[in-house]
Amino acid sequence: MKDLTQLEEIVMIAIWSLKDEANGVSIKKMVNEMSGKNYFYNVVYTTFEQLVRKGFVTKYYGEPTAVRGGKRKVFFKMTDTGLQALERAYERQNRIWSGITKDAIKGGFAS
Amino acid sequence: MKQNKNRIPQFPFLLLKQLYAFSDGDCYSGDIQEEFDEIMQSEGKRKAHSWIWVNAIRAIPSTMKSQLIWGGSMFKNHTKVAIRNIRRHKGYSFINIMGLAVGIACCLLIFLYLQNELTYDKYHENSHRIYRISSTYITSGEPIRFAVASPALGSRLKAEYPEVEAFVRTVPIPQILFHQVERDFTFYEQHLLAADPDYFTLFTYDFISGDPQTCLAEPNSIVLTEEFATKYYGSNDPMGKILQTGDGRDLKVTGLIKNPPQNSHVPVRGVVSFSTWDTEGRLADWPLFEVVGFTYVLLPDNYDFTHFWDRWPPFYEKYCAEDGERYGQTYVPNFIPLEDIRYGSMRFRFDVDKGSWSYLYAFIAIGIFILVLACINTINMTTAHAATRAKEVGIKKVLGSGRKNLIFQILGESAFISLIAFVVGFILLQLFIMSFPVEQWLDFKVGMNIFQNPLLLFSAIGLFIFISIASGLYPAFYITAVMPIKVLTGTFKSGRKGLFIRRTLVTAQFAISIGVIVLMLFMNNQVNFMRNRDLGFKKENVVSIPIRDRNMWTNIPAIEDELMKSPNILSAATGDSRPGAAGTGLYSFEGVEGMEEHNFHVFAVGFNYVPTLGLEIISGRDFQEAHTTDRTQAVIVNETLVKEMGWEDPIGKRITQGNNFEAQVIGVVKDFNFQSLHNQIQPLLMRMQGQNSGRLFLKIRGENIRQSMAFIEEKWKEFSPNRPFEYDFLDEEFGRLYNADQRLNKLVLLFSAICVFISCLGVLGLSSFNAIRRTKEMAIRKVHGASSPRLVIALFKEIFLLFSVAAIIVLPVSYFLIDLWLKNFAYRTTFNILLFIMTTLVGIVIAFLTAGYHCMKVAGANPITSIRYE
Repeated sequence: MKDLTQLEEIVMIAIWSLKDEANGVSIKKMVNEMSGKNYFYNVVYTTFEQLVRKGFVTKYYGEPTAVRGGKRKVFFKMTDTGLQALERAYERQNRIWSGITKDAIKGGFAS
Repeated sequence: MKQNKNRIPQFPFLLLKQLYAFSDGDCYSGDIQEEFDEIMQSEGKRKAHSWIWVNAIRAIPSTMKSQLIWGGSMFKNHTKVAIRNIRRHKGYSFINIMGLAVGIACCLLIFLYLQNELTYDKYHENSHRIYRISSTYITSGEPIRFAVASPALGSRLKAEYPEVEAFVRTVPIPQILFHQVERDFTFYEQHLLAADPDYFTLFTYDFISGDPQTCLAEPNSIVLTEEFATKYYGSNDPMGKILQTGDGRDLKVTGLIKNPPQNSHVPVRGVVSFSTWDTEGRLADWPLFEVVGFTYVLLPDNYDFTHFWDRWPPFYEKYCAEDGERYGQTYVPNFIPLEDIRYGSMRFRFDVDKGSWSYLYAFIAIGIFILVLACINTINMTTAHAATRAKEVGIKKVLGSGRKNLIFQILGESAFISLIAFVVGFILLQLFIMSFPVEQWLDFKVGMNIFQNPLLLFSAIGLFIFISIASGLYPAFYITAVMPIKVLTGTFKSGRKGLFIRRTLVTAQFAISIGVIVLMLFMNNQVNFMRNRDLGFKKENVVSIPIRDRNMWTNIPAIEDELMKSPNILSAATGDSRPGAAGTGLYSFEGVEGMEEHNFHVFAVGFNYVPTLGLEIISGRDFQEAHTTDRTQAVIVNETLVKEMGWEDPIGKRITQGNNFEAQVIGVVKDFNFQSLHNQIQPLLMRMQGQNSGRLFLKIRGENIRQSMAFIEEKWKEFSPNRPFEYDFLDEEFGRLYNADQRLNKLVLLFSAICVFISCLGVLGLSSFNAIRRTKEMAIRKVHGASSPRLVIALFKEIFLLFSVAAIIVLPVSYFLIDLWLKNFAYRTTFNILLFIMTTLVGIVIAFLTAGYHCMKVAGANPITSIRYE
């Protein structure tokens, strides 16, 4: 199974935590909050494509509204594979960062 | 539905939509609208607008980057496919590329020529501030315009008009005899200029040594071009050396300049200081009504000439009014911008060689034709071979490729082929220039260095884009109009569609080729006609020797006597004018109501001129030595002049000029063409020459010409040992009047050969394709008993028909065009239908020979092998 890239990781976490509210706009906002960057929809949607292709999420559509000019919304939901991938990502992060605190990094090299 | 009053700005919105190339595009745009609305509600309109604009612009570079990455990987694949395609159909690709390459080579050459012609004199830094002053003199009759001006004009203008920053007088020196002292050789040199010290201030030349400001300040100074210096001094430094001239001056070399560009209206190989001849500065007081040499002035940028004319009346009063009375004329200067001299529309006497617009138009037309032919070729070839790519296109469509993508892919291939053709064309052009004296034919230097010539680069790129699109667009649409089902289930019939268009294109090709050839043959006809027509004088075997040494004139009678002793020399005469070189003069003629002033052409001649040139006196008599008054009081006129003046009895009529010439008509000469056949015969006045200048004309026998020439040279050298012996033949000289026409003729010949070549390529390709396509059909016909010749006819019929249609269309068009061109000439050949028909027939034969190979191969094929794989 493939690893998640950093951006994919963030998007996945956003999708996971937003549960039923995981549509394009809200995911984009949360991703920007978490990553601290200002991504636009094209980047986020590309990541959606990749995740769907890898089978980590599935997509379904909502109702069109007037505000959106009559266009429907797209929603994402985690799949089991996706959850597994998230788990692995978490474990990986742990392994990499185990035992390192922020102060330790601030203080220079590992003692 | 609630009206959304605050609409999202369309430009950035659409841009974002366009730049997004993946799936769920509608969700994408919906999300954008939703967030836009949110921001609009919470933070206001301005924030919302700036949000969407910023994001739209930021999207551009990232889109470009991803496109490049994707595009790049596909690019490799597409090139691979393109190269594979070319390899697989070597013959057809070759025809495609060759046709385009030849077309491109021609277009490049024509472009370079046009660029050279249209930028005459532009290389001078001050070119937009330099004006040449031409002089117009208005008398009771027509105004006469001279390209030259009075030598006093420049300094006077500078004195009275402060805006005239500098002036320069130049006099092109027809020939100077130079004697190089150190190595002792002597040559006549042409293209020298006498100029004022400010010459190099106005005109830009690259100085190798010497000071541009002072090199012409002293009399007897000369500045040489590299080429001149090399001829006389080899690789030694010429600075400070002395060159002796034929009229006894010692010129010191004060400057050395690089060879100037060819496109200058006055060719220059050396510049001599003006003061060399005008040592006392007498020319500064020359009357403004007598003209010598060119005068140029340097004016401020974008000078408004109303400033000049405002102050003209007092200037005229001061310098011209008095003389004006005396000469009976008014004088008006014209300011011609330097860059307008060569191609300007005003015609002047004593002007330099001017370029002709019709020449340029002809070139542009030829270039366009050849390009069109080449593109038609490619289009036909590509569409004919569409069937071979049908499977590829069908499968790609099944795999999800949009038609747009496929079209771009085909266009890309077309661009690829154009690129190859460009490179080949470039190489072809270089080879061509190296092997043929093109520079001589067209009279310009071909500068193909892209780096020095940015305009060439841009035009080449433009041409490349045009060819790629023109020859690729229609085939792209045609090839991709494939229904995948039909291809894959084998019900796809190849070659049916687009047959009509293909046939039209081929007909167009034929039409253009036939037209160009017919035009060429007619031009040839006309030029030959002009060379061989009876001109009213016998130009054959007349030697003309320029007499440059003033001192020779006293010896002329003795030389004539010596020469006449030879039986090969029939007649001798002197004359300052000859056919092709006649001046005009203002004389008064006895008219119905007193003396009328006219500016007719004038021949200044010596005794025996009439029989030497074979002219015919039809009434009255010739000049004769026995009549001593003939030198100053006798005049011969031609028939046209008699008609013009309305004289019933021309003999005895009076002709005067001012106070010093008073003569009577003693004879009438039969009209002869003393100008080129472009012009109607004009009225002509012949009088005995007053000054000792001009040439010696000798009529010699047609046989033993070499002996006669040797004899003449020997005798001439006896009298003039220090000068080279120069001579010319009158018929050759006269023939040079048609130089421009002959050159055009030669070039049209070349280009029509190219047209034929490209059309043949087209026929070759098409016929091969058709033949292969109809192999089965031919086999079946054979089995049913058709003979080989019948099959060939069946295959060839289509081409034959198209050719005939083309011929019928071209006939009226070429008639119109030829008629138009013949209007340039007062004397012309007639339109010969026979020529046209013969051209068509020859064309059909050529087409047959080209297509014949394939037709016969197919017709002769064994039917069994053709039908076997059914």
